[in-house]
Amino acid sequence: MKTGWTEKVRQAARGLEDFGLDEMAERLGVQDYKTRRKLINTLSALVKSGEVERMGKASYRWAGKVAGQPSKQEILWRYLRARRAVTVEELQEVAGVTARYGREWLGFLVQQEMVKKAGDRYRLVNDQMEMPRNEGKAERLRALRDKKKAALAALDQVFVAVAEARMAVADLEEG
Amino acid sequence: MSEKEFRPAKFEHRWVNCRNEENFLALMDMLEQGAGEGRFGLLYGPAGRGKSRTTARWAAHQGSVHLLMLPIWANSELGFLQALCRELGVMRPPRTKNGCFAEAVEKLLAAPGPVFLDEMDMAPKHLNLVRALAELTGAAFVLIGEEELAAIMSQNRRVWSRVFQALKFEPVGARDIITYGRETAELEIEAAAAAELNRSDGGEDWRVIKRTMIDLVGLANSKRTRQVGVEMVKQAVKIGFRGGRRR
Repeated sequence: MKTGWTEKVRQAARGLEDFGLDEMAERLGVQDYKTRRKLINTLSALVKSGEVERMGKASYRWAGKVAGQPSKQEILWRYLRARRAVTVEELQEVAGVTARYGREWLGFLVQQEMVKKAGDRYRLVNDQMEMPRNEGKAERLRALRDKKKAALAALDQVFVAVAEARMAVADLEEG
Repeated sequence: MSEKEFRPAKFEHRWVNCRNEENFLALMDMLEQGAGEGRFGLLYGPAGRGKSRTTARWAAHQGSVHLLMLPIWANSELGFLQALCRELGVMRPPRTKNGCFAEAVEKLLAAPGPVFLDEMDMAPKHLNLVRALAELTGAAFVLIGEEELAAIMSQNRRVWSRVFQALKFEPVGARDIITYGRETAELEIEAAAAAELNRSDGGEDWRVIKRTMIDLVGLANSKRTRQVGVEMVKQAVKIGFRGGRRR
């Protein structure tokens, strides 16, 4: 099975335990700026998920937490199945999500006709056991990420162009 | 706090670990220590004390089975076993009791995580069935219900002897109210004020306390303070009565 980038970073972090950004980049054979940027982003995501701890500037530690902790959606879904009827406020308390996220998620389930809204309570009426995935939202997020990537790449090009222009100007002045 | 420095309080819906939650976590720790032996945890107490919420939240985070017992299963072992099988990940549970039982045993042997059975007092006839599942698989079952559940279980010697710990969910106390106010709204509720709220009608019910806390935030902000005294609590309780939120 092909190992994805995040999994590669995870495995390297597990092996290194305490590591700096350079050490990790070396371990993964990162040589260009673009991949280094990607590594920083991946490490930030792992810090956010609790798998890696940030010890200082560009210094990390493998936290040893088991990967694959349930996502917010999984927690919400399991809680809804256990309770059968929930409010947005309850979801905020149980999973630490915002009211907006809770409403959006429940709204999606209403659209799927799995949940019915009655007053401020949402009742599970069609329990399909499997957690429904909001593919539309996932698609939107993917598109957003792609846009962000393209914007960052464009910025990189601008930086390179500015650096080259600076060097050219400096050469002119020296000449 | 000077006029300039005052930052209005804001209520945020947030989970607050109170006394019952701490005791529940201790119970779960204890059950884990007895791994490999079929065992029961018992959680009981009157409605409205947060038993189901606390356990459902724990189960949702840990990925454990949390099944709400329905009264229609009171006399139907098959209905209960099929529902349990579904929760354990059997997409199409067998149509016979024997088949379901065997599937449930297999699933529990593979993953003997704790299983929560909420409102077990709705179907007390299945206690022996649950005991058999626990014994055959070494899984822990946490049974949740109102006070009569403890009485029913204590009458069944085989079941009662396997109860590792019985935990009664206590009513909300003044200390819980102080913690709740601090963590959800950054309000400093004086001990006497918390006791006043606790004594008021519905003051032991989380739903009422939450609504009162929201009123207290409004009152505290209008007085430009974070300190909550007895008078402010009395005023908030009065608002609650007018809004028809109290029992």
